[in-house]
Amino acid sequence: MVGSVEDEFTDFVKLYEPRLRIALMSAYGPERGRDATAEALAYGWEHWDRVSGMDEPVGYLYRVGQSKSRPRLRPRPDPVPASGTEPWVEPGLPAALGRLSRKQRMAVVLVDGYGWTHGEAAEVMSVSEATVRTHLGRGLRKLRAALGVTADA
Amino acid sequence: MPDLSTSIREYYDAVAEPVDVSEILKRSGHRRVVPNWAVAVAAGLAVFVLIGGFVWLISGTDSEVIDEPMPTVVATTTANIPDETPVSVPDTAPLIKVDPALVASSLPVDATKAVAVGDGSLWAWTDLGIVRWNLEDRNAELFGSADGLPVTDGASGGIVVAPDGTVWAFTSNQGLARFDGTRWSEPAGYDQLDIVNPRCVDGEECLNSITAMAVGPDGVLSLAFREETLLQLDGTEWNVVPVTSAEVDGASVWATDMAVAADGTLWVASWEELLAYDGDEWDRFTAADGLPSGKIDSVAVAPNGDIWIKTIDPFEEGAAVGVARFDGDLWTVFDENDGLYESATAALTVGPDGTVWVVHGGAVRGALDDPRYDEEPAVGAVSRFDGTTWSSITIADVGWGFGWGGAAVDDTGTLWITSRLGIVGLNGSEATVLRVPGGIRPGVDPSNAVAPDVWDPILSTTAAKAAPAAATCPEGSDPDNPGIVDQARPNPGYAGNQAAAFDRHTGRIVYVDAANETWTFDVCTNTWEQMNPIGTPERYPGGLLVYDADSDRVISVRASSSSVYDPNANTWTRISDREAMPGDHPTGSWMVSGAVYDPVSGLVLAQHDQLGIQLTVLSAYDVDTDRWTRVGALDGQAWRNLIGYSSLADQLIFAGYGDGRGSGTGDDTGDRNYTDGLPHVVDPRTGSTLATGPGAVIIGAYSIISYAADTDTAYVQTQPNEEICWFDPETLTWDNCFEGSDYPADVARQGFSAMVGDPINNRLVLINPHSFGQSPAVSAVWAVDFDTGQWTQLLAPPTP
Repeated sequence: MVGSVEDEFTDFVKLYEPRLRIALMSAYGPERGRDATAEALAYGWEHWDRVSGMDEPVGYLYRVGQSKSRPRLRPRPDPVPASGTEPWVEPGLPAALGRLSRKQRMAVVLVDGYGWTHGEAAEVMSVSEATVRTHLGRGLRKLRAALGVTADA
Repeated sequence: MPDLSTSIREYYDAVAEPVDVSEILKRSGHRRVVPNWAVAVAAGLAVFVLIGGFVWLISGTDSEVIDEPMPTVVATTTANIPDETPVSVPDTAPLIKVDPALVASSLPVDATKAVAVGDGSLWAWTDLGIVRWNLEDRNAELFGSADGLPVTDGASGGIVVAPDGTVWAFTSNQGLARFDGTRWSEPAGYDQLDIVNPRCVDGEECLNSITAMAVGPDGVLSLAFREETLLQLDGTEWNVVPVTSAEVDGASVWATDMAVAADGTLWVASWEELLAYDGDEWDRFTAADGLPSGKIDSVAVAPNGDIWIKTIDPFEEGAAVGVARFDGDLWTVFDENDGLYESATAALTVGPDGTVWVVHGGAVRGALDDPRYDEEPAVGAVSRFDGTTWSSITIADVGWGFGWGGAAVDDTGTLWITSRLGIVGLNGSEATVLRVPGGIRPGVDPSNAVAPDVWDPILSTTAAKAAPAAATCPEGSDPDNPGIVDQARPNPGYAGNQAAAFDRHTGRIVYVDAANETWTFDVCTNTWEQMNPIGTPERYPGGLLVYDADSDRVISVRASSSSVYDPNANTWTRISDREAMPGDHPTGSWMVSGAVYDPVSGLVLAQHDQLGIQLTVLSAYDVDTDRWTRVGALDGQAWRNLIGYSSLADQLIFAGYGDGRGSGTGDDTGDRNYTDGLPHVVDPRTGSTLATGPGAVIIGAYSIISYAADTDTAYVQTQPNEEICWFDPETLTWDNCFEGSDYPADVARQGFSAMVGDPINNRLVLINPHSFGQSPAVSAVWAVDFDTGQWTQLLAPPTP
């Protein structure tokens, strides 16, 4: 029986880990975001009876990961991947992403980068869809201004 | 280069190393369900522990701090704590609960940035500005920009009371003000300093922000700037003290907090070290001196001269390290092994009697494992050091962010803790919550209203027709008599914030349920009737229904395909003039965020937002001509929703939203800023917009807020207290709320599928309560009397 539960959980991880990870990484950076993902999934495994029944566990586990990776009172570094580890992209992209607020960055990465719906992003970000649109619009505007690209680029 | 979306995706794909499932399976185990008998045994033990916990509060060695029983603190039963989660309530930390009745009635604003006490007052820097409470009578006074305070949305800040009673406040973006007892003003010469020239610009990142402030016993003000600079004001003389890298030896972030000892030594907390400045030289304390590793974010000086520090919970770096004391010779580290509730900490403060308090915030140890907090771990804890031993207690329902804005102790020994609820006070004999006054802000000047350049006069030139006679209940009917339980009902699922409208002509509520079925609710007999009309509105959870009184139609407003319901013919008709709505939407990327009926023009008004560019347009629909008219664009970029109209003030009511967890509705730059969701009122005849300030930000996730537009003002369901509050158009406040103490505690009411005004019975009808998360909505109907605030169940849930 244990094996079957592990199989269930393995399928669960395959299905949800990428979305959970990208959400947490977009919020907290690669290192902290990945750790938070692992913590959240570990929590999900420990509480599999509860989590397995959820229709949409990503938002819940995101908050678990967020809690495990406590918000800080003070500014902290590492909101975006450290330079040197990224593939070739527009050189100013990492820095420009780093200058976005967390919510703006999440909206941009999740919706614009990964094609999440506003509703999916809103669920994870614990805000309304309208707020996602607000952050997305402002984030993209800032990003484009920083990179000197137009909306059609 | 690839397009921006692809670049972002490729970038994160390259650095986002997946978490392998084997990594998870190896590190933790799947937990088994514990039998009920074990839970019962544990519950009995826990109750015993609870009693012991109260002893902590009443038997402290500092009798002036804790010397009375706690008649007003409501202890919750611990019977629900299963034994599989013993760490959630340690033996030394029983659970107490903040009694909602102790919370003063006003809307909370949870982003309290700092607190300080002095001269009989408690000062708190909030998103509204600075609030001063008189600690004797608990009266609050609010200071804003009109009082000279450099209030800036989104900026963090601090406040300090000097020994002589002078109060200083700063914002991170270089705002600085001193309080003279009446007004706030910037000290002379400050604006001439190079360090603040050019000054940081609101809304932009401040590269040399102020990060910490302290005032010494001699009154010297010290300000730490991010670029490793110390600025001091001695009376009227400014002194800039550059802090070189050699002096701070590369501290990664310097000056997260400061405190001044009795001998004048300035103690500066920075990440990974503590600095001491005697006015001439800097001393450093690092791990080599016994300082705990970690990023120090708080420093305090005890009356006996001991220096206390706390570290940021370094989750990603390893275990939290708690707090530490420096007695002038040795460092002593205290963590959970020494009796601290847990090593992760949110705030540190030392009382005038030397008692050391540590606040553990938000979701403390074990909260995630506690089924009481399945949806929202929201428990805080406080540890107390009496000079010898630590003891602790947990506090329920404090929400996220407990202690994140700091804590302070007043002269009576009461510990004041910032929280989402407000400022929580614990003195051992009572728990008090001081809530930030909501509503109109000082400095809100109606003359500051902004009118757009272009505003179609249609709302002034069009007059409503005479409306059909309003229905009344038949003689002999008893609208308070609950409806028959065994009756057909609509789908109880969430159907939107405005999924119902009151048809005054028939006296029925028209409701489109989550299955897109049309129902009516007879408010005289409390009976649902499925209408099975010809046609349907376009399916839209969150659909906005508005009753057009002078045309006796119900409009389902959408951006692209609105519909009209004729209650008399029982037909839905799609609106033909969709292409004209709102008039110039070449991309079609519009959404409708709110709609109301304007009884002056007889038109339905809708708020349209264009996605991505933050353009908010007010449009008017005339059902008789089937024509939409673009009235005009609203000023400003802040997010808001049209949620009501007041005939008393002839103003449209907009509300800004916050989600109550500190996440933003707008351009937030940190964890807890959501201040640009400003409430507004808008003159529909001129488009003149008046932002009433950030004070009335409605707390609650948007998706679980219900609001009622079809009333003569606006009603909202707020979080986290689940009250229903209404907007007073005369004072521009949201201060008035129905608490709902007569609503059953075991039925969720974080939101309703619809709220709608019932003018026949003078009450607000609440349809299908639901809760956040996985709990299903409940098929039931409630009402709140507009005059008495009494909650009445009009239709009970169906019998299982």
